Amino acid sequence: MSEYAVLGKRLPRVDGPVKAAGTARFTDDLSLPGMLYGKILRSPHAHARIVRIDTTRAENHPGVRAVIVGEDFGDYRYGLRADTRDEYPLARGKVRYLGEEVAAVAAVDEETALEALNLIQVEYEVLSAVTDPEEALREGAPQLHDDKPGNISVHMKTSFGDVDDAFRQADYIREDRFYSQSVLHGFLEPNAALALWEAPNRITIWASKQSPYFLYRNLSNCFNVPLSNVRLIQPYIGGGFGGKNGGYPVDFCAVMLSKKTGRPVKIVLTMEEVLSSHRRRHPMIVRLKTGVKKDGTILAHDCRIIADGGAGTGVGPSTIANAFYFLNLPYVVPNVRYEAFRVYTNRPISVAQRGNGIQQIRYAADVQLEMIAHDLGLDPVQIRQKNAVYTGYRTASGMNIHSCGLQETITEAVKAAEWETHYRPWQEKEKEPLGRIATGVGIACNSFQSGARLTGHNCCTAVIKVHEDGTASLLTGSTDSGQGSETVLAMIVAEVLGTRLEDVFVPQTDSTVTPVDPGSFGSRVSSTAGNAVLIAAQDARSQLLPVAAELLKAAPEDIEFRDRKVLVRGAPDRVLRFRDLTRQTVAWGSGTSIIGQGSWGQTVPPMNFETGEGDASGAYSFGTQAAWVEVDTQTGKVTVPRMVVAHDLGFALNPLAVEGQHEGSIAGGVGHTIYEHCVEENGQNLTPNLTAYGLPTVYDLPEEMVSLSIETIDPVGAFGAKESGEGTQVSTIPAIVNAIHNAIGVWITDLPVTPEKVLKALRDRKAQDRATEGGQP
Amino acid sequence: MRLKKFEHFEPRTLSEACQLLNEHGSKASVIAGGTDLVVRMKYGVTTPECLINLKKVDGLSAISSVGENLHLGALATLTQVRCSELVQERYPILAEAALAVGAAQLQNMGTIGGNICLEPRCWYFQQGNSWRQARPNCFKNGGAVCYMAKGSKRCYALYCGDTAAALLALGAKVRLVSLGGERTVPVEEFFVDDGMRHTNLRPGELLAEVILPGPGTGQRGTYLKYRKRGALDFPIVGVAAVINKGATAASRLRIAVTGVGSSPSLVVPPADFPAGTGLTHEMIDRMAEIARKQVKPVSHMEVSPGYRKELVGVLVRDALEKLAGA
Ligand SMILES: Cc1cc2nc3c(=O)[nH]c(=O)nc-3n(C[C@H](O)[C@H](O)[C@H](O)COP(=O)(O)OP(=O)(O)OC[C@H]3O[C@@H](n4cnc5c(N)ncnc54)[C@H](O)[C@@H]3O)c2cc1C
Repeated sequence: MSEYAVLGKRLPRVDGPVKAAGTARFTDDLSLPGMLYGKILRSPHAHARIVRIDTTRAENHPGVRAVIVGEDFGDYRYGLRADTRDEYPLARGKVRYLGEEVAAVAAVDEETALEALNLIQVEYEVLSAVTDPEEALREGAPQLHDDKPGNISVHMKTSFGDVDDAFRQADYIREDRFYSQSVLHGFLEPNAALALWEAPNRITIWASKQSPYFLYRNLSNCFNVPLSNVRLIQPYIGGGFGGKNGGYPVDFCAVMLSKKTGRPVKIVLTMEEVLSSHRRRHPMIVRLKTGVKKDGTILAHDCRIIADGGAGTGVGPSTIANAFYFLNLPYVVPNVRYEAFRVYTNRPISVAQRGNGIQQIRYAADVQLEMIAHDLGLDPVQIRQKNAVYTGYRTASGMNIHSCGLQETITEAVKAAEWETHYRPWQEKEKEPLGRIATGVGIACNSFQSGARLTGHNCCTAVIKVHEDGTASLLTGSTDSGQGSETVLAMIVAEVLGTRLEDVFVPQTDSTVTPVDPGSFGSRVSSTAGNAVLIAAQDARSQLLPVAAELLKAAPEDIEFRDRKVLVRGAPDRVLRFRDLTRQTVAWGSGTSIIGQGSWGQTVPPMNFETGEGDASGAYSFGTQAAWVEVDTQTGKVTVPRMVVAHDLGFALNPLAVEGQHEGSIAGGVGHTIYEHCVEENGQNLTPNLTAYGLPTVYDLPEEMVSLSIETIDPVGAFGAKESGEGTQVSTIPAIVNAIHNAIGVWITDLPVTPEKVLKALRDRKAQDRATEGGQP
Repeated sequence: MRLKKFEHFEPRTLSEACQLLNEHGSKASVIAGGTDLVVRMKYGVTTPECLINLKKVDGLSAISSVGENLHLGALATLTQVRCSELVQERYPILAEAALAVGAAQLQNMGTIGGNICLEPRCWYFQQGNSWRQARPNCFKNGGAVCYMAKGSKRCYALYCGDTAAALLALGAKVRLVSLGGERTVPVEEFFVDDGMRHTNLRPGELLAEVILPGPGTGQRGTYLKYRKRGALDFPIVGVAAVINKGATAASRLRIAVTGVGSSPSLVVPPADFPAGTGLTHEMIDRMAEIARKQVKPVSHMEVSPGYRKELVGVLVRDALEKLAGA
């Protein structure tokens, strides 16, 4: 793509050096004069009524400045929609999970605050708890919320096409149950907030947020303060992955404690608090029935999901809807039926996590497709090629595909994986004795939304201030939580203004200064904010153009901005330095400011959480992953020495950043597949530290990761870009699980793939074979 | 978070250290690299009123030949141990085991003495204060239950040190010193199969050095560690095997297992285990089966007892195959 001077180049991230050098300031690095330290008291029970809280002794403890409880927040509740507001800043009346926030303390130092926590006396009446979503649905199960009978947090039921008829037409039908476990976001910076309340009604808060404007609205509502008075400043963020979207108790408590004390208050959670009681991915039980023709053409999916929502709803409706939307992609599914229950349990709240609901469903659907291929003796690559969606396709539910390079990603992944050399069907290998190390290859495909289209405010806005020395500041509310958007958005500005990456500065989000923004979720920033930045940069450029035309005595349409120069096409001697142009423009007449502005929002209607009809986004990415695995047939240990990602991301704005995303997706996916899960007992997490929880280390990731970008130049996204941050993690799990089958002939339908499970499955293969005869020919 | 207040002593000699230990008794903890102790202090499960830091004790980190034997000072770091030419030449299995501990940073800080004395581990014990408040205390935290072995009368915390297995298989000894004097005991007598008190260290006693017997010639050994991840993790099972040429049948083969019980343990070959020629596949299979049967793991930290037993068999076989092939 040589037409671009900056875009498409492998430019290192602008935030790289400060993060590598340790000079980047995160929330915990900040302090203010007179600052107090906050600590949160958590419930030791998974389910209990709060009979009484006595804070007197804590309040009287020397050094304690304030103690707050649920009542301090009145009846304030928060949540995604009016009907799903079921979370309190601090528990009221009842605790619904072990680790739920019950009270908070501000004191002169952390130790005093911790001592004070021990002095708060809470009398509980312990209630029976339910931690299994299937049990929670049973009659007579303990009920979590009085206004949500049956423990149903979200219910979605929908159907497109004629599913029953399709199953009658099908030559082969399979029905399987899959389970995806409870995994954590795994960000390394714990949630943190530093708040300053200034009387009568001004809030300043520094908080670790990937989508700061949720909290900005939350705080305005909670404290009855106009939005103009909520100043949320975003320091550097140590990862989010969906676990730093909304407002959380840590934020509300910091503000309330500051309000009570008149002093700044900082609360930084410990890693134990984060891992044991903060948000996590939805565990899901997926029951999937699929009908195909003899040649593997998919005719219908009938899917039932039970998602463990934990004690609150959070962004759960989007998770449940996403799982439906991506039952329809990346393969052609002419008929589809779906029913999902998101169930309350006495566990920490499930929210979005990289892939938000899509991993779980694609794990089930792509592994089942592999099972079908195996049962029917079809080739795994061909069955995917046969069913792959294409440009111009419209799903049964009404999702419109405007650009699609899925076939190319299959071709490229297969080529890079040297599939022809390494793949032998299990039927063939089955006859040979298993060696100590069995190897196998597997592939899986993915699709993802390029910007989740939610209801309400859903556009991005950018303001570009061009300084008189030719540099520019880009004000955007789109947050860089580590994904690299700061760099990519700055590159767009540099491209349009004909300057360089280092000439553009992107300050972090500050709600008083930067334009309101939905946030960094649903893979929306590069494409959506990217478009807003493009428009703003063009606006700034158009303000410079008339002056340039005048100075260079040229027609505006002949003028080009490139590499810090302003050039006239066809007249190489007429050149102006960009900085001279900006200086002259600023001084033009009695002076002016060059401020470009642009807004862009998706043109598709919002996602439909009731029926799932229509689009989930304006554009969709597609991709294929291939995995090699080695299985130790004596210990059951699975390793993934090599993984290929081929992704149709529209256009690679910065290929280096894309590679980082692909590698991150593999790391997240390998963790989810093999290493991670919260081991729990009666709602208590036994693995609330990084030693026990077991995120994969660098030794556990593929030694070789191949990252391939397929560019389809999407008509919607900025410069044709789609997403490349989440879709690639969607197919990691099925690619590995399919490869395990190819290695040892067992299907792992219950994550994670622990060595013990693999060994047992190997032993039980006979029984397994019996179980997989469930499908009728 | 800051630790609870404690007094900090930096004795210059072992006798000074013993003096301090005697004075402060159970209120004191010995600290070497601190990579185990400080973690427990952060959790609040160990709350010493004073720390006796061995860092400045003269000569305590020396690695030196004494006669036929090799002496390792308790304060020698694992990095020192695994990089020592003497160790690499004479007892490479120990270098292997030291390299298997945690990760590079932990090997730089952690000492051989601390690794041997490492506190047994358990998901119900090494947890923060508020976590532990959610259930009655277990034995190790002053209560009367063991959550690992329900209904049991003792604590089943797991001993997870890596080097201990290698030292057991090598037939190493430890020299223990106290104000009253000193004693040297074989490593197998140093450990006790009890999660509450896993060593024979008497009050006031310190581990001063490890003694590796003999020149190490004619000896081959290997340490195999099975863990969840490629770094950081404690062993789910660790197996050390040493073969001595020319020795009598019974002592010819020494196998030790760690990560399975509250102490590392020796797997004893039967009396009729043949001496003489090299290991045959049948002998290896038999030994693996003996080892598998001998260990009695309880359900622990993610892994079922059956699977742990299985792993012991696999690792013993792998270790012996490796030695037979070497
Ligand atoms: C994340 C993590 C991973 C780890 N992984 C492993 C692993 O894989 N394998 C493994 O074996 N260990 C592991 N460890 C534990 C630890 O790092 C090592 O065992 C280390 O060798 C301990 O040595 P130290 O000098 O730091 O011990 P310290 O923490 O200083 O002491 C440990 C204990 O021994 C006592 N002690 C120390 N020296 C003496 C002495 N001379 N006389 C009497 N008592 C003494 C102390 O009082 C204390 O109770 C891990 C630790 C962490 C934090």
